[in-house]
Amino acid sequence: METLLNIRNISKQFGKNTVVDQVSFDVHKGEILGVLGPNGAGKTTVIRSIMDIIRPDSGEIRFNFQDNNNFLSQIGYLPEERGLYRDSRVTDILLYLAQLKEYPRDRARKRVLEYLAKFDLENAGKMKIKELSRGMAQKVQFIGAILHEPAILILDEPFSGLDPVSQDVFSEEIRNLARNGVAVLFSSHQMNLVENLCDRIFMIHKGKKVLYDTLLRIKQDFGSFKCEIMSEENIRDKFINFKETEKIEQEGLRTTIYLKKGVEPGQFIQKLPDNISIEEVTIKRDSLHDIFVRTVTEN
Amino acid sequence: MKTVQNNTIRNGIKVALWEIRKLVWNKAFIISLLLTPVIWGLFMGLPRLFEKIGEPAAAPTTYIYIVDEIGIYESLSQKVSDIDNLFLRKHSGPIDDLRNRIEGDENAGYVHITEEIFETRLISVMTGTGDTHIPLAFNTRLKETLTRYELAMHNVEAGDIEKIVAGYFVSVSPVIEESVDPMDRVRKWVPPIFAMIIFFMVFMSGMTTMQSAISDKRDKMIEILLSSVSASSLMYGKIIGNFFAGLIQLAVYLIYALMFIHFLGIPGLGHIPVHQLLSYIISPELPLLLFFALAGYLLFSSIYAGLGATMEDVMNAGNFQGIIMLLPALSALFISPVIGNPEGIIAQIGSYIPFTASIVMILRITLIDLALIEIVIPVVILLASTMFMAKLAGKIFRTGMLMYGKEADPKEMWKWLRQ
Repeated sequence: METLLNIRNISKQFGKNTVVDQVSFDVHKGEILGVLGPNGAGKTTVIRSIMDIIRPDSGEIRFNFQDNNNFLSQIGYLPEERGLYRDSRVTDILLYLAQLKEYPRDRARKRVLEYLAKFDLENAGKMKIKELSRGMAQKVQFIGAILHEPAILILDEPFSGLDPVSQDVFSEEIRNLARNGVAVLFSSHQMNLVENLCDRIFMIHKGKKVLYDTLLRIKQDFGSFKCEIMSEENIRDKFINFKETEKIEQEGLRTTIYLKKGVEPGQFIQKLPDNISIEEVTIKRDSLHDIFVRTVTEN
Repeated sequence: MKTVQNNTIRNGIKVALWEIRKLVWNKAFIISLLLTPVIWGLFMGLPRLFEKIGEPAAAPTTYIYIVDEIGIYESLSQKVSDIDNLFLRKHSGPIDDLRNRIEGDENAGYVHITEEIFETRLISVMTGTGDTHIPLAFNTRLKETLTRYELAMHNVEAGDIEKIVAGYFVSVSPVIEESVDPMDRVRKWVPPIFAMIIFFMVFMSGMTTMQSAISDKRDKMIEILLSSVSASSLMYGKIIGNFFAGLIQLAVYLIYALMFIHFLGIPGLGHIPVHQLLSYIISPELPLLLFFALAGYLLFSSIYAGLGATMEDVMNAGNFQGIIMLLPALSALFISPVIGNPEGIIAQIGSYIPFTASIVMILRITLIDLALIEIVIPVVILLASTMFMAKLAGKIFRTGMLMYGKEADPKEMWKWLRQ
């Protein structure tokens, strides 16, 4: 697997506060790497270090491009704190962003039209940013990040404020880009989206790496199974003495039984009591959300 | 290293072109560009217009009857013939009839001229009412005519009479003879005025640079931009872009001014051909004057760019930022003392303070011939300060631009400078 970006032991301090501490990870061509962490974990500092917006105090960030001299032109970036010049026209600003990335103007112009059509913004080309809705402006920002055909795309909370339809459009485009060989580094707090999109996960907490593997492996290693039962009865007490049970949560008709690590789902199903009425039962691994919360809490 | 520098320059140019485009295609900029000179012209013309409107109504026609007992009526009549709305009439009847005739008439008066006048030295002009208007010029001409008559009575020759009546003219001149050509003054002052206008325009461009940095923060463009260009490229791009936008503005204003001078002339000097005015601008001192104007611009625009990165809004600028913003105004304190004594201690001190050196040196170079060392030292100080300030501003710009939703205080800025 071709690695486009190596990050080795980067650290960054602001005053006496260490915000990134000896962090290392790689980004491969064609993969979607989820960068997770609670607020203040150091995600943005890592991303800004990659973008050369801030310099780490130590460590190494290495790009494996054919021409590393102008590496920024091969990265697309959609920051969390983002906006566009309110008084500028959509096409003008997109062409300007492409120009800053050294992308040929005629090709940029062609791709602007293609992407505006793709995101239902055909008539927005001559509109000023301030005339667009928030969702439309966010689409324009996204186009600005991918217009120059980057080898690496860094997306920091790309879905915030988007309606579900637009979220699907963005998700599909991100998958397409990855399929075409773009390495996507994707930071978000929306765990369901990360789970749906990402191949691998890098999780940072208090500046340190706490998880780094494929999504499947992380779920295998860190997530046990949970059984959700929909029942009109109060079935909680029936499972309290189960040795396979880690904890039980009840919310309305839904009872969620978290199984201990190593407990096989089949083994648990066989032990379900006969004398309870079950409307619906599902067994699945802990979600990324559960793993995230547990990891953060334990750390 | 060389590639990094090339990228910085190339990206800086891209940012500069965008800044020019953003500003020049802005509707408000175009309107202000075209309308400001018109408004200036209007404001310059309005007082004159008001003067005209406010001018008193034309003076009423006044008839002055001359009771001439010494025979000066003819010569007096000739002397006053050019005074508007004044007519002389010779009266030869009894005085009482005349008095009765003009009494109550606010357009009439009379003078009784007798030999006695030369003894009493008093001429009485009697008027119909207290409001009767007697032009001052009439009084002067009457005195002149009587003086001539008196001198002739003493057998003074006609040529001498003219000399005596003409009186004396007191002139004050320097020991070294100077050219009296008023165009010399124009020639002397055009280059510094041009340089000062450039300095003023670039100062305004500095403010625009600050606004541009603030708008990048406000519109949350900064991280997107910094993901493509370095903070240095962005800052210098803004400085250069806004400078050229300022020059475009200056060029338009200059065209307006030249057209004004070409067609209407300069008050007191009349018509001056444009090519002549341009030849005055291109003087031997111009490169030096331009250097001080441009170096001053770079100094202030660096400060302003850095300052813009520390605030969300000019209106909410802190005290510290407010004080820094007023630094260029320091020059104004030096203008009068420097013009008064361009070689004095104030002028010399002003030449060595980077924030005032531009204006002070532009004035001094224009007013006196400076020794080479007196030019070289301010040049070196200004250059070094500009480079130093650009470096400091770059550090503040880089960190300040990434700080959202908060104004930076001096303590924080000091911390950034030490990083």
